[in-house]
Amino acid sequence: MTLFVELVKGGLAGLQDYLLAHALTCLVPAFFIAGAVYALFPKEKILQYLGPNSPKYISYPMSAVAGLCLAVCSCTVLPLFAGIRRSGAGLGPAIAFLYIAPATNILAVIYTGKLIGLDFALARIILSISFAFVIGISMQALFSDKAKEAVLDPTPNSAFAMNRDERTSNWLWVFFALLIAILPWGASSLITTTVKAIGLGLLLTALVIVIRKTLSRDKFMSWMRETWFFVRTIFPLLLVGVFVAGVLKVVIPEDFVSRYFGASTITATLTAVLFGVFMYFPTLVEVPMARMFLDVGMGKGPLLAYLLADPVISLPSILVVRRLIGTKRIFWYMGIIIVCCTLAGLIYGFAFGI
Amino acid sequence: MNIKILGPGCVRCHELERITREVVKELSIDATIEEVKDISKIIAYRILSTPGLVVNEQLVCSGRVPTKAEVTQFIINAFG
Repeated sequence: MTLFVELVKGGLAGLQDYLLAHALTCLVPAFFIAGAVYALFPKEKILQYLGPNSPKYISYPMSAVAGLCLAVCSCTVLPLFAGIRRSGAGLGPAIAFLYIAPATNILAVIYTGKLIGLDFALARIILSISFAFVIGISMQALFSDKAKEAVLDPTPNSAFAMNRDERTSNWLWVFFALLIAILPWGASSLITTTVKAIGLGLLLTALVIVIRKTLSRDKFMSWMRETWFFVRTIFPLLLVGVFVAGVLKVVIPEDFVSRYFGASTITATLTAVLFGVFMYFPTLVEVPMARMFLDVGMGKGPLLAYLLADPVISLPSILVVRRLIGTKRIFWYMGIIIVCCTLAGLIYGFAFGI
Repeated sequence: MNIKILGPGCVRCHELERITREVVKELSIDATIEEVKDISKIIAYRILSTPGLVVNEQLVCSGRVPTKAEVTQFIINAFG
């Protein structure tokens, strides 16, 4: 009986520490940002740069922009990947996009920044993009068969050509800049509360003015709907996940974790990566899980490796991608991801001394 | 009337399917609603982002979940 009580207390503590205490104040704006990006960001404008006629120095950075801005859940990434491939995008940039999109999921990055640390969040973004380029370029070099690359779509760039006439107002970029600026301003601990409040007031007023200038009522409602959609699909699972993380924190013996995973050894890092590969957590849940591992003694190196690997590979998405790019390429894809994530963990642990 | 919902089975696609079924029921029309989950079949419709709504083989909406009013309008348009 007492065990059950302990577990429940652990779960509730998890809710408190991993969600309610600080993270909620950053998750709320994060959902609005995710909703805005999904509803308002001009997808086709970015994706047209991934087409077959784009030079490499444009298509790869654009694949990073697309990955950062375009998808939050893996269910949207896979059709997008299939679509851009079919419309002629090079294997390299398409693969880079496939990797970056779930790895730099806006919500997860913001949550990581708050719950684990800004350094981790930045490492997650920078390393994910670097690996994505490595993976994309290597796959294009190794597997891209010029003959097979024939565009299946008889009218090339058709998917890219859709909506190209829609002009994107410059005010839209101002809108995004303001919306995103609110987050670090509100979350920062470097500014005094009065300055923060005044600043927030100014930012919000500016935001409202820009909204009235750029967003039609339809677009505004679309934004609100998408935001609510993200909240309603992600938040309940997050609550459960956080509770489970809290329970696990009570259950997992600390000495076991620190002994085998405390230092950045190759075995520890590799195991962490494999755990991330084979273990599936719903969107965002990998973050409080990571925090919990940290709390029970996992080293930062293996933890980063896990955090880099988990969102990108899950058995269902691998199976779907396999149908699109073939078994041979999939093995390389998985292999190189495992190697890169392990390396990243080792380097991070080495550089930061744990 | 033939209606297809394009999507690999994520939450948005279910939402679109639910709304479509409601509209079809309310309009009392004779329509078959089909879910297309196979990726290669989905992209055959030149869609960039799921979910997608196809009415009589015409892609009418993609990349978001349309409101019930919009779905009603799409279906009514298909009669014209």
